[in-house]
Amino acid sequence: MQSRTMRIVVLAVVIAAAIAALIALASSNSGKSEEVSHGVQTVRVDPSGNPVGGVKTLTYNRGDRIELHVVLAAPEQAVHVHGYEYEKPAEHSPVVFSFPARLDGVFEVEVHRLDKSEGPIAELHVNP
Amino acid sequence: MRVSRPKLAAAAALATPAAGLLFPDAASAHALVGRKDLPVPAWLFAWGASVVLVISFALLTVAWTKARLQDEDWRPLPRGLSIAVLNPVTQTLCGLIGVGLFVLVLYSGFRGIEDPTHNFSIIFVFYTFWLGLILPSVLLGDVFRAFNPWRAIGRVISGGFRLVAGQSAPTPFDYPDRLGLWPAVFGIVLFIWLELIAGGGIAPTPHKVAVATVIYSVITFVCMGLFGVEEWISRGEAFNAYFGMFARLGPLETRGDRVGTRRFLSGAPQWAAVPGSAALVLTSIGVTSFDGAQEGVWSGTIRWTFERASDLGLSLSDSFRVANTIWLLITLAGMAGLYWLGIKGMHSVRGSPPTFRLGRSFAHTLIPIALAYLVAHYFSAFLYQEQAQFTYILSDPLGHGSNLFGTAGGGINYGIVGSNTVWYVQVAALVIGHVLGLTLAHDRALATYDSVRLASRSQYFMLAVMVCFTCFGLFLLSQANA
Repeated sequence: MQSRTMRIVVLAVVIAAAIAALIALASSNSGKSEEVSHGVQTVRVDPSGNPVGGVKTLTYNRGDRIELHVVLAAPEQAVHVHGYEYEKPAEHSPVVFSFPARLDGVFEVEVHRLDKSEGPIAELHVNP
Repeated sequence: MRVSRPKLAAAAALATPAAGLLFPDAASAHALVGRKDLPVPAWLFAWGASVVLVISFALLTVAWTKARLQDEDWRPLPRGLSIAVLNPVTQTLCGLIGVGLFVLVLYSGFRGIEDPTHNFSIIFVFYTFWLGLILPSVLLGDVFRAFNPWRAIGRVISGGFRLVAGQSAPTPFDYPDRLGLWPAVFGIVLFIWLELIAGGGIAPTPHKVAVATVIYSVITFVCMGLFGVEEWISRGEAFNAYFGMFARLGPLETRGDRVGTRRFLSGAPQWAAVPGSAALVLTSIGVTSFDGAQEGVWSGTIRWTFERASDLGLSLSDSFRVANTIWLLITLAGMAGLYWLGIKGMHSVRGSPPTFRLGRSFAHTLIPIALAYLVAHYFSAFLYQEQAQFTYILSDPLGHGSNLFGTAGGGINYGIVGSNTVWYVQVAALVIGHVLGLTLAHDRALATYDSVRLASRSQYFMLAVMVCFTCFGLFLLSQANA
């Protein structure tokens, strides 16, 4: 093979990698809402203990106040905010959380059901 | 892997009618760790990728023209140090520690609480052991050999045999050279399968881990009996082979009864000559990628496969297993395919050895990249889980409420590192791994080809492969990943 041809091949691969990089950039920007949540956010949980409308992502900046109301269709055992390790009993609706976003990262909010199963109901994204 | 409480989500999901809800949700699958990493921001990803490209081309132009790392200039350190490290007392002590921890894994697995986050077996096996031994291996050499419980038990048994029979235990078979590291490749894939897939959408239970440990131990003891203790430990035993691979990067190695040093990285080229070396290092990159992609980049396709599998009438957890196994294998095949393409390209250069030999002789150049992937993906989770290991797991290994050392009340401080630090460590690890990989590849090319010109030309291909690996690693980090 000519060295010229090879250079072209290599260049092509590099360009392909660069394009892949750009696509990644584009998708990571469009893929999720960067919009920061304000005020009280409500998450509804159906009678079988699943979030209505799927697991919602709530985005905050570090230092913001996270105010979360979990409205339950039926009594559950508890609602648990991972990482921050807040756990509140969930016999009565709504379960109310209000705390400052002092840790950055991705944190799952989970419902612990009466049958001892668990499932995510929201995800908190706290930007640094 | 992230661990959380035993999840019965899959069972509960049975009651839900909508197919979409049946899939053991990403978050519920194994939310092991309370805090997940935010994706690396777009600007950092772009900078990381650009730096990788620029460094790669710069390296090609200023590269050295004589191979420097091919000769392992191993030199013994002072005898006193060797005696201090390798005396029978130290060896026995290390073996005892290894066996003690091994017994504790089995005991806590069978007798402890089924909650993975509060059971010694899970935290120890998947974090402290599997991730924690990698850096010590690079820095201090093949440390796992000293603590390897299977080796320790094997040595005691063969020592006992010698005492009773007056001769060494016979080894019925010579370890076939062609087998090389292949048994370890299968061992590592199965280990990852246990960690990420076997639970069928939930974290593996301590009981399952204990059963797997028993099965693996039986296989190891049988093979040690067939091929000899040291023979099997050095090549066939999956974890020794795996940690030993990373140990080849570092400067310290024990030979016979002496501890010695060599130039950094110069131990790696010899390692590549063993059959299965390329497979082992590609497996490491592949399984780390899969763990990152399972709940991120691959999640949509895995979910699609899961739905097809459950349409065929498989149970939910079996569908999860089938779908994830397929995508794990696709990931591994993709890694192998990429490497093979690079080798094919290199083969087109005049004076190349046969493809097969070429593929093996460049295997070690990927070890730094495998290491970088591990650091990038597990750095933060490791920091969190080790806090658990040395607080409540230490005092209450079974999860039964004991408080042996007064640390049972401790917990994980998730604020220990900020997201910015995590991002910089991740990107820096990948960039440094990339540079070390290119260094090893360039050096090996100089030793493989007749002229510097041909060697450089062959490296266009290796460079393209490594740019792909590194950028893929960066890409995984820039996406939601676990």
